[in-house]
Amino acid sequence: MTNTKIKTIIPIGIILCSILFYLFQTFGLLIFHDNFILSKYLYGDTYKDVPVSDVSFDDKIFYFKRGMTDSLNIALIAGGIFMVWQSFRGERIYLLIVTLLAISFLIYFIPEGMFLRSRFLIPLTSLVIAGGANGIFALCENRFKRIFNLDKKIGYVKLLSAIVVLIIFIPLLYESTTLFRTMVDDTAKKNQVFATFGTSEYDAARWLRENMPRNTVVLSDPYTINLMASLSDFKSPYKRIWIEPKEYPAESLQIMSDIRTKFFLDDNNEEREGFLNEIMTDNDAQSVIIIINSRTATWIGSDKFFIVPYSGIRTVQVPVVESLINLFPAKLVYTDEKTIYVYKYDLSD
Amino acid sequence: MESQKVNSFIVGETALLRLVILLYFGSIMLISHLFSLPELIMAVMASIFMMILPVFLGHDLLTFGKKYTFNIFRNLDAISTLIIFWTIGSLFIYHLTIFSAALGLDFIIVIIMILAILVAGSLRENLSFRGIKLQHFLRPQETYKDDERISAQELSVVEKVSFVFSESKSIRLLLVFIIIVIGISATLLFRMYQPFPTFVTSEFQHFSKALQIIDDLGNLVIAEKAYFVVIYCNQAIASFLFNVHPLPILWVATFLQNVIVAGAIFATGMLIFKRTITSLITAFFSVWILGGAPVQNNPYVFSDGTLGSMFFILILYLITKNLQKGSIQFNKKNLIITFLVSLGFPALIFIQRLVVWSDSTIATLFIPLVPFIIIIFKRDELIYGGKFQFTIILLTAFTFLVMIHPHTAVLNIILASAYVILWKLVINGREHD
Repeated sequence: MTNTKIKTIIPIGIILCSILFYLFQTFGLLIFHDNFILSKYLYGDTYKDVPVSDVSFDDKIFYFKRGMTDSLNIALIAGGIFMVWQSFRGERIYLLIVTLLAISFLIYFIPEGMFLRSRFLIPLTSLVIAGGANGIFALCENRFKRIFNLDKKIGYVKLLSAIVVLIIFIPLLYESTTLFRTMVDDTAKKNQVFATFGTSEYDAARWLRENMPRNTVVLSDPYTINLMASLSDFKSPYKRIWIEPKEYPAESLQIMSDIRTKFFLDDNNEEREGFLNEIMTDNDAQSVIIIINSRTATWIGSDKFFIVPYSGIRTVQVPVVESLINLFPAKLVYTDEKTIYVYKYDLSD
Repeated sequence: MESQKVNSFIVGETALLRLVILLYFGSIMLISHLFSLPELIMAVMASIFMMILPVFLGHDLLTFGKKYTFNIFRNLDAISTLIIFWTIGSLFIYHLTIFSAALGLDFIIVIIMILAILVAGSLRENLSFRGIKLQHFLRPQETYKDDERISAQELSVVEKVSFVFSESKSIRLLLVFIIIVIGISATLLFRMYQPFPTFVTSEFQHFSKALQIIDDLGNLVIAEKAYFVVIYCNQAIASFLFNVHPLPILWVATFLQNVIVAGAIFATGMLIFKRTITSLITAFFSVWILGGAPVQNNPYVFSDGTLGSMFFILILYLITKNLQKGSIQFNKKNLIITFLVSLGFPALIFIQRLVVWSDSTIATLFIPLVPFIIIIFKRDELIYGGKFQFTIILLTAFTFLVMIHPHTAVLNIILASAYVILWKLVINGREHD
């Protein structure tokens, strides 16, 4: 008997711990000043100051609220309470699901940047909200059988119960789509697109794959280099990793910086040629492709390593392109005359 | 004697069906290399093939050298069997490709080997697929008797009697339609706003590896501090065979991924709630709530992260279904062995990938291979059942999870392990009291 009690106390204890962990942080009784209590030992400082990881408890609450609505939060709490209650009436698996959700929230609220990608919250939250629907279903079935004396017509009972559940839950289902609909609407109003690169770049890369030798180095702003080298399978002048500059070794960052200062901002064509020859030698390449677009122009005038546009690629003016190529003896090999200009330079030039 | 005739008929029919499927896809591959076909249509074909290919390969690898008996995969339900096939097939494709890269082989060698296995596999028994019906996906909570599938196979040949289910065929098809609509709904919202190609939905990190594998496998960088290229190998094969760029495949595969998410959470919901409406509500929420950063329900993306998330739902299903059957009873010794094996090897992979030896090609090649070899070596546990069947299921699932996305796998594995322990504590423990 004692054993059985302990086996119930443990999951309930986990659920309470999770709630208390949240409440203590909400009311300021528990404050963490470090958002990387674990990953800094595993990965060093790689993720420190990376905006998406370095978030406080308040940010986490903000993110969670943004992905839910008040009604959905209420449905989640009601579903959880109902499932725990039902677990004592025989449906023990319900207690497991609520406990798993509690563990998920514990993980989410631990001040650890790497725990932010808590996608497991999604199925578990869905299951617990739906647990509420299941409770209403069971309640309706029970009541309708008695009220309408439909013991032998179980089909009608199920149908009526389903109608009640749907009447209650359809508004909630619709509400769950709010965030994505708002995201699309906002972007549409601003006439933006969800694009980190443009169709013209995709077409240009296809053309390059089909028309240029493979041992070619791509030269542009770092984001365009990563993109076009990936699309065309050409060489990158530095070791490519991911997007965050913190993940790159110092040598790679130096090359990115040199591309800006020693090529695009340098007026002396001999020095520029020397720089390109050096890059070709280092990468065992025969030619260089210089790509100029609006992203490159923005990058030249900024101190950032990566310019990541989330609204596609804008038109780049010809004078801007000419000022960047600055009479350098490279051949224009591809352009859509709007967004992208591709020049080729090789040892014969 | 009569029984043998029935068996040979079944064997022939199942293998023939697989051969027809392969011929269908094969002819499309051939046409795509001869004529220029619309990119998106080819991407649809390639994406579907990306789902089917590992299932067939996984089946062939697990049943290779095994004689067909009626005991084969008897202890696993249809969904669990397909998940296991897909997982093992995907890992096999990865190991084959990555070792070919290490040996400096051309990608065409990988393609030839894969096609040879696919064709050879179609010329022998494929009875693991026999008897799988729509009902097994829509009503997974129903417990079938161990020999029900087999007896139904015999009956369907001898007496042409099929299963009698409470739902009509049209209702079942309607249910499938609703699940598909739920699955693609969120993806469609974004795709409608910006049709192909939308690139935040298919970022270039997720197809550049496939391009490199196709173009220059011999020079592929094997050891780097990034994901294992499990999905990219499969993507590269599909891209090569259907003569389509990996980017459109990513674009289309997002839809399929979210149909699987909706289907998997629906099936898990059915196991837990045993009610269709409730499970459909679960499926709907799972594709819409908690969108955006940082929880990242982003149904417009096909990436290692989203696949890891999808696979976590499949693991929830695997655990729930296989523990719910009641045939797996843990004693303390079994539980300890299960966790030592199923956590130990994935932990090694995690450590290799992200903490030490991540720059070692030898370690990158061989450490993930160890659990895979153990799974293949102990495949009888999967095929015929046994006291370590669940251990091998967990090892397979966790190994796949940690190779898909090493960063987030840890949290998913912690949760899945907690689920098993809680099950032992709250459900099995209670039954024993």
